[in-house]
Amino acid sequence: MPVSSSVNGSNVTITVTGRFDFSSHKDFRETYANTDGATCNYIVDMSNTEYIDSSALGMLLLLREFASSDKSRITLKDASADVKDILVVSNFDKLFTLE
Amino acid sequence: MKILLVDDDATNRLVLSAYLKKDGYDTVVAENGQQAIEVFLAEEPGMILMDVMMPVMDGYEATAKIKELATRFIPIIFLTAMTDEKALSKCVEVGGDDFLTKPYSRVILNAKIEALIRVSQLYNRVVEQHDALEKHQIQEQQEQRVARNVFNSLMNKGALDKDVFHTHISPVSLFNGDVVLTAVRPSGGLHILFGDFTGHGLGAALGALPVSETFYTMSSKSYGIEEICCEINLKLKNQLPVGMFLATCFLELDVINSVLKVWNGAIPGAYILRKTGETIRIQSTNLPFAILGPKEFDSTPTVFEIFDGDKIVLSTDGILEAENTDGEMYGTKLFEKQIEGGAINAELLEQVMISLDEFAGEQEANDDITLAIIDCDFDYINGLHSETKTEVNVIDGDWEIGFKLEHTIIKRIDPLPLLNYLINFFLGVREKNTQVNMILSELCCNAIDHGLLGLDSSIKETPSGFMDFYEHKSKGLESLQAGTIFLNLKNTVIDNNSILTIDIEDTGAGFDVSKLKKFNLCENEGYCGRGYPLLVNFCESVEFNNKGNKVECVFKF
Repeated sequence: MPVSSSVNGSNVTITVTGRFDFSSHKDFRETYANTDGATCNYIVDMSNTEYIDSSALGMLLLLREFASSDKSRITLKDASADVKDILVVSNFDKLFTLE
Repeated sequence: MKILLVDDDATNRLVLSAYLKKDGYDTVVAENGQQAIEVFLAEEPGMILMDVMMPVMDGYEATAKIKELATRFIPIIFLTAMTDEKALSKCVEVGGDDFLTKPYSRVILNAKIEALIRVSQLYNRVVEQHDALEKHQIQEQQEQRVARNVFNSLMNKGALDKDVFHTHISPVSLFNGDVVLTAVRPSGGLHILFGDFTGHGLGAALGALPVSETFYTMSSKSYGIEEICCEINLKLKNQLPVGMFLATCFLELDVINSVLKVWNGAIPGAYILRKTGETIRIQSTNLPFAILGPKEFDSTPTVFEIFDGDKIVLSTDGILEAENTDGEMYGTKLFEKQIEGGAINAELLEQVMISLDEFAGEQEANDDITLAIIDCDFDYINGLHSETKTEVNVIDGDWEIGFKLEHTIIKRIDPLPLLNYLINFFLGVREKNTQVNMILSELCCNAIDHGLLGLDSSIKETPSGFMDFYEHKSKGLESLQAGTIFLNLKNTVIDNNSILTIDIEDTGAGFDVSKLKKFNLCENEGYCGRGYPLLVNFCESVEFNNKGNKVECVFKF
């Protein structure tokens, strides 16, 4: 399963394994669709994400909108150097907390 | 369900017909193969029970012909007295779907008929779905063609010659989500928008409509990079769904003042290649268009000095992320190595594409690949004119109009679009408007930079000084507390010629006008760079007052 998630209280951890691209769209959306966007903390665990494309950046923006654009509640965690490059070039560090 | 019975024996036909009617089927009959074909065409039965040995035409031949004529699936069951395997396998060879040897059990025959009805229903449903799908596909292709035509007509309006503007655009779907737009500014110089939409195909291309419309319209009305970026971002933010955005590198190239202003939002491969061999990477300092609202959006560009003979390279992530058969990416390092020292290479674009092809090998590209290289040929760019060249709406008469612009206004707005509008309104759209726009642009710039802000052009002469100058300028404008610019435009018509007198005065300290006397037109350095020689070149006269805070230019149409 390339996208999986676990919920611990108000912390939702979404793990994306392998390529994060358009094919993950439905699965990614489903991981948070039933959570409370107004209060939950979202952690996208990217430690096993090999690649990220622009539609994946779009999916992150959708998650951000779901979480009321609250930067403090969405964390992109442990991205590899390559993936981080893409996030930084796109200046997504201004919208999300990168860890 | 109508079943056709083919048998030369009248008793067989009668008995079977009676059975089938009892089971609820309609029946039609034929006495031989030839008749079977005729009845099949006339009655369109849903199934055929076929004898083999018959006069005129046997069951094998009739079956082959009917299968050829049929436009949908017609199950044919052979009923035969023959029992040898060869004869039975021939039933299937010629196109039969099943066989039953006489004497047959009624129960088995019924079961076979029912099974084949199910098969034919399934088959016909698949055919219907296939037809519907095909129809849908044709319609979609048609729609894509229409959209592509619109898209291409927008993209091909570019202002630049292929000799100075080299592009490679490879669509992975019918048309791609990459946008390359160029426009000549009314006051000279260029605007270039290089963009890459999320995804590709129709959705992405649709977003190109508001982008190109806003780009061309605002650029032709003298708006600058900051206003155009703000507007495009706002339009896309309002029109595109969340999750869709436009990574963009926007360039404003001013060859008169050697200034390149860049707004880069998420284009990874943007570079200036100096004629001297140096490579400067233009960092992406912004989020793409369509993500931030107008309050958070920052349209402040980065300023670079640009020289005649430099090149600007722009590439989408499609190139940097192109993969080879081992799944490795082309990457920034290889790309930078390819373009290194490329300012003097006329074949640079081709060279990069060849290197990319060699790297990718058999691997097919899975993203749009767009590469653009702009040769900064100052003479060529100086010779370009903004789009409208037909002379229309000339108002023949004298007029005069004056402005008083306070520092509070100057901080916030660029007066050029307004002046451009007035010139077009009163003087009509004429070829020489470009020159008037250039003059106004230079004069306004001068009054602000040197008059109100007191910046010294000599700062620009050191390598880092160029950037410092624009740093000082933006800080100076921010903290500007006082100052006024007076601008007066007066048009007099004499012998069908318009004489436009432009007066501009600022409340700054002025400058030592005697320095101008020493000024040599052949030199590029000196007071206000290339601005002053440009004024002298275009105008009938250029006169400064003694204090150096007021200048009068006379321009003849």
